[in-house]
Amino acid sequence: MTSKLWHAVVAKVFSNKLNLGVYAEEPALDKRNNND
Amino acid sequence: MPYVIKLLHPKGERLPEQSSGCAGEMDWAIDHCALGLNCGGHRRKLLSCFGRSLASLDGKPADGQIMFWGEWEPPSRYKKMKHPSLGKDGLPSYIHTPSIRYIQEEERVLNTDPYVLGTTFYYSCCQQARLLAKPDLPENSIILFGSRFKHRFILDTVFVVERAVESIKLTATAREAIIAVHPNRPAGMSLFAGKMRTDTQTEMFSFFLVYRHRTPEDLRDRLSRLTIWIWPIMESTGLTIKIRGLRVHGWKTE
Repeated sequence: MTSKLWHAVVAKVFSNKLNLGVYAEEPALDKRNNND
Repeated sequence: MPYVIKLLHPKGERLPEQSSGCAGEMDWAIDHCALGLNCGGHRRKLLSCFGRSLASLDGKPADGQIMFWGEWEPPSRYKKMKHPSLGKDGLPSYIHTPSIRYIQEEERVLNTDPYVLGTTFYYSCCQQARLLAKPDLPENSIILFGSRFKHRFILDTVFVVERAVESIKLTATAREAIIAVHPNRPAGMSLFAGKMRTDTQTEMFSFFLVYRHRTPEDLRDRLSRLTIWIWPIMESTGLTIKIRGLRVHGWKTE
């Protein structure tokens, strides 16, 4: 049932010349960033 | 039966607390409620980083620098955007590159929800206590995350629920941004993983709205297109929707 809504939103995104973002690189957490 | 839920970042764009020129570092957003002060609420940032996006459902994903509205309450490096029309009409004033550091024991900072960086999206907290009678969301439930501006809903993320997962599966960065900020995380809250696009999962996946980096001349036009009014879409689907509660903007499909 919700697939109908999903496809409607996707169509709206593409009609507005936007893209679907499926991955964004997360920053790495390591000791060098620690304020301790 | 899956749910359709609309959730808002309650405030507008997150701005530097003090004007410090055109660029700088923004630290973790403070959780004023936890400190007994007036609640500041979650805000959105225009984020820029390396990512992957699709220009069509059957197209090949493109890798490169992307820009998108999202909630990122950990630190970030920001730059003021120079186009004169930006900072008005709901358009951003700053662009942020996400960064991260460990939270200090005495700090009370805001979590990030939804978490959309990394290979899996997560929904961990927002409105769960009021929204869900039990900490469960059926597979393929959809959560529309966004902001409100002048009575319009600015959609930024479509989260398709896959299943509830254990927090042990989180990356170190995600754990800090989602779990470590809640030293006394309430019992009964679920951590939901989003359904992600794969070679075999090419429909009903989670995504955020994005465009590739362009020249400054068309910046305002393209940012304006990040505003999507959701009600006509809901109506066009012909779904019968049931309001579960005025304050939580949740609907159940029937």
